[in-house]
Amino acid sequence: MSLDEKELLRKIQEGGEAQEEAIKQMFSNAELLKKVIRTIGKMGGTKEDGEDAFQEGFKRFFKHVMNGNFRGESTPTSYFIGICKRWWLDQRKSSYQKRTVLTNDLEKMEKEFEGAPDLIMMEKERKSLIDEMLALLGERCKEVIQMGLYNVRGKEIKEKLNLSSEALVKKIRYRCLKQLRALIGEKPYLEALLKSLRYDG
Amino acid sequence: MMDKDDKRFLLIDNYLNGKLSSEEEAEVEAQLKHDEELSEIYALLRLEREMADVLLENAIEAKMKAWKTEQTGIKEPVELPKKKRKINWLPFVIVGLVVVLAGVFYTPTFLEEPADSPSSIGPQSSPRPVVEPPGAEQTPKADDPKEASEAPTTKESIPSKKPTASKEAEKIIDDQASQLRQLAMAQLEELSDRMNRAGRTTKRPVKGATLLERGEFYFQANQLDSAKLVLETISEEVDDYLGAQELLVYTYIKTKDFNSAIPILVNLLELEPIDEEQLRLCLGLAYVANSQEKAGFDILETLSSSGRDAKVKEVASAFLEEQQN
Repeated sequence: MSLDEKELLRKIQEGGEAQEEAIKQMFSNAELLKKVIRTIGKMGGTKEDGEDAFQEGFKRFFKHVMNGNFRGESTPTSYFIGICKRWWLDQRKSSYQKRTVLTNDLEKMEKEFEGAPDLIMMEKERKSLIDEMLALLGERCKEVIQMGLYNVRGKEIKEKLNLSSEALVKKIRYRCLKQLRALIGEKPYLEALLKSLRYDG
Repeated sequence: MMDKDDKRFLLIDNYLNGKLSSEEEAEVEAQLKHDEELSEIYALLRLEREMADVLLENAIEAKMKAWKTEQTGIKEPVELPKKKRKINWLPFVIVGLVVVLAGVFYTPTFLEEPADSPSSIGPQSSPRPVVEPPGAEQTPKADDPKEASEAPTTKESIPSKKPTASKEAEKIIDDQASQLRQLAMAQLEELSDRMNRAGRTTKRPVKGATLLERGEFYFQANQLDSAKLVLETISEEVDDYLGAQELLVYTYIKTKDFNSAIPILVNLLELEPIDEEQLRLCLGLAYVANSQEKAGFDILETLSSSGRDAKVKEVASAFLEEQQN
């Protein structure tokens, strides 16, 4: 691992501002963009495909970092390029016929269907419903929900939200969800989305 | 201290985070099957995860936009107006209406004026009601504030003095052209509706359904964006390609995106399809709707004089008659 990569990794693992700086550094790295374009080009993609893969791959990379899925077993750059490649391959699966396999493995099937155009559209519609639900929440609730679930350290949340104890974060989260439940009840189409998430054993 | 409710939230939270032992997990799953409230908590906590995901995605997009702006110093371009606006026939309709109304209300004054006034406005405007009232009333002003805001400007342009004869003539020509475009659009709409009712699938497609089946479902459910998205991905190598292209044409027509529909129609016609005349009729009407009147009328005249399909011939002739009126 080169010095630059080591430094990048250190910053990503440090979290907070250093992490954001590292991610920004990667996003602004013209060489990295060229590398992604070259990689996608070798797989038959155009320059625009490479640029798209860079953009979309970057979103995934960011999420992986925030979720703690990136544990630094490979360099940030090769991990990122791997994500871009994967995104590009998903896009190339253009028809359901090609993807559909007889399998009982739901997880595998989910992966097979990933990137299908109508599913993307449905996801978009779902996202707009979720956005609507988020609009029902106050800013504090949103912050608590995001930080409580993503890899933000308890201490950091406590300081940022000015809370007296880390345990309060959970309490606030649950209270926000209860409030949201009451508000959703007034909108049947949001209620339907909530129902779809119930346990179906 | 956590109350009973919070404890139940915590239990499901731990379950979703994989923090329970396998025995505890089995116990929770058994409870979830019978306990409605617990199942609701489960749904809320899953929803919370989805919300966190969306929040994160929104944050990433905002950051990426900001970094890009920082890099290039160029702000993201303002979103382009919707395709629908390309047609931009509304002002013509409004001008047409104003001319007609002006004709009705100003006639007595004109009669008192010397012969240079365009007394022809009244009689010329009377045969138009064929398309005018429904088209004008359905004009989606509320859909588009910008278009709506154009209306007063045109109103203001009602001449305080008498309009000159040449301006009136121009307005009448514009008015007629816009009526023909509306008529072509209405005719195309009817053709695509007929397509919609033509025994196509209504069942929600199951997993493994072909892309064309999915496209047909979305088309019929009037989810036109989804239909476009699916149909556009069907490549030439797939057997369903021609069917998909045809359905794509009707989808574009329904969204009044004639610029996209026309080249597909031209390509399809080169392949000599079975319903050639029906497609040719669509092409002719699409040209007219897209302000390419000459190309449109040439096709319609050919269909009207030498078409084999009686229905197509009838529609083309009726349309040409309308044009001559």
